[in-house]
Amino acid sequence: MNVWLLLALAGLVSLVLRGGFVLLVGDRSLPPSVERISAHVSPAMLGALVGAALSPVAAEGLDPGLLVVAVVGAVVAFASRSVSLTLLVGITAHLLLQAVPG
Amino acid sequence: MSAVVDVGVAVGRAPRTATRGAALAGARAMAPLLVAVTPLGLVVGATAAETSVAFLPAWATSWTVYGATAQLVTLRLLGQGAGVALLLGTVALVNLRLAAYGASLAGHWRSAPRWWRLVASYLLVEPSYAVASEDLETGGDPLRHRWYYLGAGVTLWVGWQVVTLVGLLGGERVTHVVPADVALVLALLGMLVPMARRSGDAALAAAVGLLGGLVFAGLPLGTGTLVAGAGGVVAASVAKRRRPS
Repeated sequence: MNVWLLLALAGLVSLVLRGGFVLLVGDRSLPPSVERISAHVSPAMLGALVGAALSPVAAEGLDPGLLVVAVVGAVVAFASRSVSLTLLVGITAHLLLQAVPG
Repeated sequence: MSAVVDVGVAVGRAPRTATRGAALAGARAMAPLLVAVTPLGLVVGATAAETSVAFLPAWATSWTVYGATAQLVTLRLLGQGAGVALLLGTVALVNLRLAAYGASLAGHWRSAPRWWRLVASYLLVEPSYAVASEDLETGGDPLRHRWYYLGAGVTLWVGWQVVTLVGLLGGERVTHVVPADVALVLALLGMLVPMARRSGDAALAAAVGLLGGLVFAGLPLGTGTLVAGAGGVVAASVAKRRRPS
Protein backbone atom coordinates (compact mmCIF):
# COMPACT_ATOMS: atom_id res chain seq x y z
CA MET A 1 0.00 0.00 0.00
CA ASN A 2 1.11 3.58 -0.64
CA VAL A 3 3.20 4.95 2.23
CA TRP A 4 1.23 8.21 2.37
CA LEU A 5 -2.06 6.34 2.64
CA LEU A 6 -0.60 4.23 5.47
CA LEU A 7 0.60 7.37 7.25
CA ALA A 8 -2.77 9.07 6.83
CA LEU A 9 -4.52 6.03 8.32
CA ALA A 10 -2.02 5.79 11.19
CA GLY A 11 -2.54 9.50 11.86
CA LEU A 12 -6.30 9.04 11.82
CA VAL A 13 -6.11 6.15 14.29
CA SER A 14 -3.96 8.32 16.58
CA LEU A 15 -6.37 11.24 16.34
CA VAL A 16 -9.40 9.06 17.06
CA LEU A 17 -7.67 7.72 20.18
CA ARG A 18 -6.65 11.19 21.37
CA GLY A 19 -9.93 12.89 20.58
CA GLY A 20 -12.56 10.15 20.81
CA PHE A 21 -13.63 10.95 24.36
CA VAL A 22 -12.98 14.69 24.07
CA LEU A 23 -15.24 15.02 21.02
CA LEU A 24 -17.89 12.50 22.07
CA VAL A 25 -18.46 13.82 25.56
CA GLY A 26 -19.63 17.06 24.01
CA ASP A 27 -21.56 19.20 26.47
CA ARG A 28 -22.86 16.30 28.51
CA SER A 29 -21.43 15.91 31.98
CA LEU A 30 -19.55 12.79 32.97
CA PRO A 31 -20.62 10.68 35.94
CA PRO A 32 -18.81 11.92 39.09
CA SER A 33 -17.15 8.51 39.49
CA VAL A 34 -15.47 8.87 36.10
CA GLU A 35 -14.29 12.38 36.93
CA ARG A 36 -12.81 11.15 40.23
CA ILE A 37 -11.01 8.27 38.56
CA SER A 38 -9.69 10.47 35.76
CA ALA A 39 -7.76 12.56 38.29
CA HIS A 40 -5.54 9.52 38.95
CA VAL A 41 -4.68 8.87 35.32
CA SER A 42 -1.81 11.32 35.03
CA PRO A 43 0.24 10.34 38.12
CA ALA A 44 -0.35 6.64 37.41
CA MET A 45 0.66 6.82 33.74
CA LEU A 46 3.65 9.10 34.32
CA GLY A 47 4.75 6.77 37.14
CA ALA A 48 4.40 3.77 34.82
CA LEU A 49 6.48 5.50 32.14
CA VAL A 50 9.24 6.28 34.66
CA GLY A 51 9.17 2.66 35.86
CA ALA A 52 9.37 1.34 32.31
CA ALA A 53 12.29 3.65 31.50
CA LEU A 54 14.25 2.47 34.55
CA SER A 55 13.28 -1.19 34.45
CA PRO A 56 15.98 -3.88 34.43
CA VAL A 57 13.46 -6.05 32.55
CA ALA A 58 13.72 -3.78 29.50
CA ALA A 59 15.98 -4.52 26.55
CA GLU A 60 19.23 -2.94 27.73
CA GLY A 61 19.11 -4.18 31.32
CA LEU A 62 19.63 -2.10 34.46
CA ASP A 63 21.59 1.12 34.03
CA PRO A 64 22.99 2.13 37.46
CA GLY A 65 24.01 5.58 36.18
CA LEU A 66 20.48 6.29 34.99
CA LEU A 67 19.14 5.16 38.36
CA VAL A 68 21.42 7.61 40.19
CA VAL A 69 20.40 10.43 37.85
CA ALA A 70 16.72 9.53 38.39
CA VAL A 71 17.08 9.66 42.20
CA VAL A 72 18.84 13.04 41.97
CA GLY A 73 16.10 14.25 39.60
CA ALA A 74 13.32 13.03 41.89
CA VAL A 75 14.82 14.82 44.91
CA VAL A 76 15.23 18.07 42.98
CA ALA A 77 11.71 17.78 41.57
CA PHE A 78 10.33 17.20 45.07
CA ALA A 79 12.14 20.17 46.55
CA SER A 80 11.74 22.64 43.69
CA ARG A 81 8.62 21.51 41.76
CA SER A 82 10.42 22.83 38.70
CA VAL A 83 10.96 20.84 35.50
CA SER A 84 13.76 23.19 34.40
CA LEU A 85 15.72 22.78 37.63
CA THR A 86 15.15 19.01 37.60
CA LEU A 87 16.63 18.84 34.10
CA LEU A 88 19.51 21.16 34.88
CA VAL A 89 20.66 19.37 38.05
CA GLY A 90 19.90 15.89 36.64
CA ILE A 91 21.89 16.47 33.45
CA THR A 92 24.77 17.93 35.48
CA ALA A 93 24.72 14.76 37.60
CA HIS A 94 24.76 12.66 34.43
CA LEU A 95 27.76 14.57 33.00
CA LEU A 96 29.62 14.27 36.32
CA LEU A 97 29.00 10.51 36.34
CA GLN A 98 30.37 10.30 32.79
CA ALA A 99 33.49 12.16 33.88
CA VAL A 100 34.17 9.71 36.72
CA PRO A 101 36.58 7.06 35.40
CA GLY A 102 35.53 3.42 35.62
CA MET B 1 -24.47 29.12 33.44
CA SER B 2 -20.83 28.81 32.52
CA ALA B 3 -21.32 26.20 29.79
CA VAL B 4 -23.81 28.34 27.88
CA VAL B 5 -21.77 31.50 28.22
CA ASP B 6 -18.55 29.73 27.21
CA VAL B 7 -20.00 28.47 23.96
CA GLY B 8 -21.51 31.86 23.26
CA VAL B 9 -18.30 33.75 23.86
CA ALA B 10 -16.29 31.12 21.96
CA VAL B 11 -12.54 31.46 21.82
CA GLY B 12 -12.10 34.19 19.25
CA ARG B 13 -14.15 36.96 20.81
CA ALA B 14 -12.20 37.30 24.07
CA PRO B 15 -10.15 40.45 24.65
CA ARG B 16 -7.06 40.07 22.52
CA THR B 17 -4.42 40.99 25.09
CA ALA B 18 -5.82 38.54 27.63
CA THR B 19 -5.78 35.66 25.17
CA ARG B 20 -2.28 36.50 23.99
CA GLY B 21 -1.08 36.65 27.58
CA ALA B 22 -2.59 33.23 28.31
CA ALA B 23 -1.09 31.69 25.16
CA LEU B 24 2.34 33.11 26.00
CA ALA B 25 2.06 31.79 29.56
CA GLY B 26 1.27 28.34 28.11
CA ALA B 27 4.26 28.54 25.78
CA ARG B 28 6.49 29.47 28.73
CA ALA B 29 5.17 26.52 30.75
CA MET B 30 6.01 24.22 27.85
CA ALA B 31 9.53 25.56 27.24
CA PRO B 32 11.40 23.35 29.75
CA LEU B 33 9.48 20.28 28.57
CA LEU B 34 10.38 21.08 24.97
CA VAL B 35 14.04 21.26 26.00
CA ALA B 36 13.60 17.91 27.73
CA VAL B 37 12.15 16.12 24.70
CA THR B 38 14.74 17.59 22.31
CA PRO B 39 17.25 14.69 22.65
CA LEU B 40 14.38 12.26 22.15
CA GLY B 41 13.25 14.08 19.01
CA LEU B 42 16.79 13.98 17.65
CA VAL B 43 16.90 10.23 18.25
CA VAL B 44 13.54 9.73 16.53
CA GLY B 45 14.78 11.73 13.54
CA ALA B 46 18.13 9.95 13.42
CA THR B 47 16.37 6.56 13.65
CA ALA B 48 14.09 7.59 10.81
CA ALA B 49 17.14 8.42 8.68
CA GLU B 50 18.44 4.89 9.18
CA THR B 51 15.29 3.13 7.97
CA SER B 52 14.42 2.53 4.34
CA VAL B 53 11.53 4.98 4.61
CA ALA B 54 12.00 8.01 2.32
CA PHE B 55 12.82 11.40 3.81
CA LEU B 56 9.45 13.13 3.54
CA PRO B 57 7.23 10.27 4.71
CA ALA B 58 9.69 9.66 7.56
CA TRP B 59 9.40 13.27 8.70
CA ALA B 60 5.64 13.18 8.13
CA THR B 61 5.31 10.75 11.05
CA SER B 62 5.97 13.84 13.21
CA TRP B 63 2.72 15.46 12.16
CA THR B 64 0.57 12.41 11.42
CA VAL B 65 1.10 10.08 14.38
CA TYR B 66 2.95 12.78 16.43
CA GLY B 67 4.49 11.03 19.42
CA ALA B 68 7.92 9.49 19.90
CA THR B 69 6.95 5.90 20.70
CA ALA B 70 4.30 5.62 18.01
CA GLN B 71 6.65 7.23 15.47
CA LEU B 72 9.46 4.79 16.21
CA VAL B 73 7.07 1.85 15.86
CA THR B 74 5.58 3.27 12.65
CA LEU B 75 9.00 3.85 11.11
CA ARG B 76 10.15 0.35 11.97
CA LEU B 77 7.03 -1.28 10.54
CA LEU B 78 7.03 0.88 7.40
CA GLY B 79 10.71 0.03 6.91
CA GLN B 80 9.89 -3.66 7.13
CA GLY B 81 7.03 -3.26 4.67
CA ALA B 82 4.44 -4.38 7.22
CA GLY B 83 0.79 -4.62 6.17
CA VAL B 84 -1.89 -2.08 6.98
CA ALA B 85 -3.59 -4.18 9.69
CA LEU B 86 -0.38 -4.79 11.64
CA LEU B 87 0.65 -1.13 11.39
CA LEU B 88 -2.68 0.30 12.48
CA GLY B 89 -3.15 -2.28 15.24
CA THR B 90 0.29 -1.54 16.65
CA VAL B 91 -0.12 2.23 16.47
CA ALA B 92 -3.48 1.91 18.21
CA LEU B 93 -1.99 -0.18 21.02
CA VAL B 94 0.99 2.12 21.53
CA ASN B 95 -1.28 5.18 21.57
CA LEU B 96 -3.94 3.69 23.82
CA ARG B 97 -2.62 5.71 26.76
CA LEU B 98 -3.52 8.88 24.85
CA ALA B 99 -7.15 7.76 24.99
CA ALA B 100 -6.82 7.64 28.77
CA TYR B 101 -5.51 11.23 28.74
CA GLY B 102 -8.38 12.26 26.50
CA ALA B 103 -10.88 10.60 28.82
CA SER B 104 -9.45 12.38 31.83
CA LEU B 105 -9.63 15.81 30.13
CA ALA B 106 -12.94 15.33 28.29
CA GLY B 107 -15.05 16.46 31.25
CA HIS B 108 -13.07 19.67 31.74
CA TRP B 109 -13.14 20.48 28.05
CA ARG B 110 -16.77 19.70 27.33
CA SER B 111 -17.92 23.31 27.05
CA ALA B 112 -15.22 24.26 24.53
CA PRO B 113 -16.12 24.76 20.86
CA ARG B 114 -15.86 21.70 18.63
CA TRP B 115 -12.91 23.07 16.57
CA TRP B 116 -10.97 23.77 19.74
CA ARG B 117 -11.56 20.23 21.00
CA LEU B 118 -10.39 18.82 17.67
CA VAL B 119 -7.17 20.89 17.66
CA ALA B 120 -6.61 20.24 21.36
CA SER B 121 -6.96 16.48 20.81
CA TYR B 122 -4.50 16.55 17.93
CA LEU B 123 -1.95 18.28 20.18
CA LEU B 124 -2.44 15.83 23.05
CA VAL B 125 0.71 14.01 24.13
CA GLU B 126 2.50 13.56 27.52
CA PRO B 127 3.95 17.08 27.93
CA SER B 128 0.78 18.86 26.74
CA TYR B 129 -1.32 16.58 28.95
CA ALA B 130 0.86 17.37 31.95
CA VAL B 131 0.62 21.12 31.30
CA ALA B 132 -3.16 20.88 30.81
CA SER B 133 -3.88 18.88 33.96
CA GLU B 134 -1.52 21.05 35.99
CA ASP B 135 -3.37 24.16 34.79
CA LEU B 136 -6.80 22.63 35.46
CA GLU B 137 -5.73 21.82 39.04
CA THR B 138 -5.22 25.51 39.71
CA GLY B 139 -8.72 26.28 38.42
CA GLY B 140 -9.46 29.62 36.80
CA ASP B 141 -11.22 30.87 33.72
CA PRO B 142 -11.95 28.15 31.10
CA LEU B 143 -11.37 30.63 28.27
CA ARG B 144 -7.92 31.46 29.59
CA HIS B 145 -7.22 27.73 29.96
CA ARG B 146 -8.00 27.14 26.27
CA TRP B 147 -5.49 29.72 25.08
CA TYR B 148 -2.97 28.60 27.66
CA TYR B 149 -3.23 25.01 26.42
CA LEU B 150 -3.06 26.05 22.75
CA GLY B 151 0.04 28.14 23.47
CA ALA B 152 1.69 25.17 25.18
CA GLY B 153 0.54 22.57 22.65
CA VAL B 154 1.52 24.56 19.55
CA THR B 155 4.93 25.39 21.05
CA LEU B 156 5.61 21.70 21.59
CA TRP B 157 4.30 20.74 18.15
CA VAL B 158 6.41 23.29 16.26
CA GLY B 159 9.47 22.43 18.34
CA TRP B 160 8.98 18.72 17.70
CA GLN B 161 8.78 19.22 13.92
CA VAL B 162 12.04 21.19 13.97
CA VAL B 163 13.90 18.82 16.28
CA THR B 164 12.92 15.64 14.41
CA LEU B 165 13.89 17.36 11.14
CA VAL B 166 17.33 18.19 12.56
CA GLY B 167 17.67 14.56 13.69
CA LEU B 168 16.71 13.36 10.20
CA LEU B 169 19.21 15.66 8.51
CA GLY B 170 21.96 14.87 10.98
CA GLY B 171 21.37 11.13 10.99
CA GLU B 172 24.16 9.26 12.74
CA ARG B 173 26.17 12.46 13.15
CA VAL B 174 23.73 13.63 15.83
CA THR B 175 25.87 13.50 18.92
CA HIS B 176 24.41 12.59 22.24
CA VAL B 177 25.88 14.75 24.95
CA VAL B 178 22.64 14.12 26.76
CA PRO B 179 21.21 10.69 25.96
CA ALA B 180 17.50 10.56 25.21
CA ASP B 181 16.73 8.21 28.11
CA VAL B 182 18.35 10.56 30.66
CA ALA B 183 16.37 13.57 29.42
CA LEU B 184 13.19 11.51 29.22
CA VAL B 185 13.42 10.18 32.78
CA LEU B 186 14.20 13.64 34.16
CA ALA B 187 11.32 15.25 32.26
CA LEU B 188 8.89 12.58 33.44
CA LEU B 189 10.07 12.98 37.04
CA GLY B 190 9.82 16.76 36.77
CA MET B 191 6.16 16.36 35.79
CA LEU B 192 5.37 13.41 38.09
CA VAL B 193 6.89 14.31 41.46
CA PRO B 194 5.12 17.66 41.96
CA MET B 195 1.87 15.92 40.93
CA ALA B 196 2.43 13.10 43.44
CA ARG B 197 3.18 15.61 46.20
CA ARG B 198 -0.28 17.06 45.97
CA SER B 199 -2.30 14.27 47.62
CA GLY B 200 -1.95 10.84 49.14
CA ASP B 201 -4.08 9.35 46.35
CA ALA B 202 -1.88 10.86 43.65
CA ALA B 203 1.25 9.58 45.41
CA LEU B 204 -0.27 6.10 45.63
CA ALA B 205 -1.26 6.13 41.96
CA ALA B 206 2.28 7.23 41.05
CA ALA B 207 3.96 4.62 43.27
CA VAL B 208 1.84 1.71 42.03
CA GLY B 209 2.28 2.89 38.44
CA LEU B 210 6.05 3.12 38.89
CA LEU B 211 6.31 -0.31 40.47
CA GLY B 212 4.12 -1.81 37.75
CA GLY B 213 6.19 -0.10 35.09
CA LEU B 214 9.37 -1.64 36.51
CA VAL B 215 7.85 -5.12 36.66
CA PHE B 216 5.90 -5.18 33.39
CA ALA B 217 8.43 -3.39 31.17
CA GLY B 218 9.08 -6.67 29.33
CA LEU B 219 5.57 -6.85 27.87
CA PRO B 220 5.51 -6.04 24.14
CA LEU B 221 4.47 -2.76 22.47
CA GLY B 222 4.21 -0.70 25.62
CA THR B 223 1.34 -2.78 26.98
CA GLY B 224 3.28 -3.07 30.26
CA THR B 225 2.94 0.69 30.75
CA LEU B 226 -0.81 0.43 30.18
CA VAL B 227 -1.19 -2.42 32.69
CA ALA B 228 0.92 -0.52 35.23
CA GLY B 229 -0.98 2.72 34.68
CA ALA B 230 -4.32 0.95 35.06
CA GLY B 231 -3.04 -0.61 38.29
CA GLY B 232 -2.14 2.82 39.66
CA VAL B 233 -5.56 4.23 38.79
CA VAL B 234 -7.38 1.28 40.39
CA ALA B 235 -5.24 1.40 43.55
CA ALA B 236 -5.84 5.13 44.07
CA SER B 237 -9.58 4.76 43.36
CA VAL B 238 -9.97 1.89 45.81
CA ALA B 239 -8.02 3.77 48.47
CA LYS B 240 -10.28 6.78 48.01
CA ARG B 241 -13.45 4.72 48.20
CA ARG B 242 -12.42 2.91 51.39
CA ARG B 243 -11.68 6.13 53.20
CA PRO B 244 -14.60 7.85 54.97
CA SER B 245 -14.88 11.19 53.20
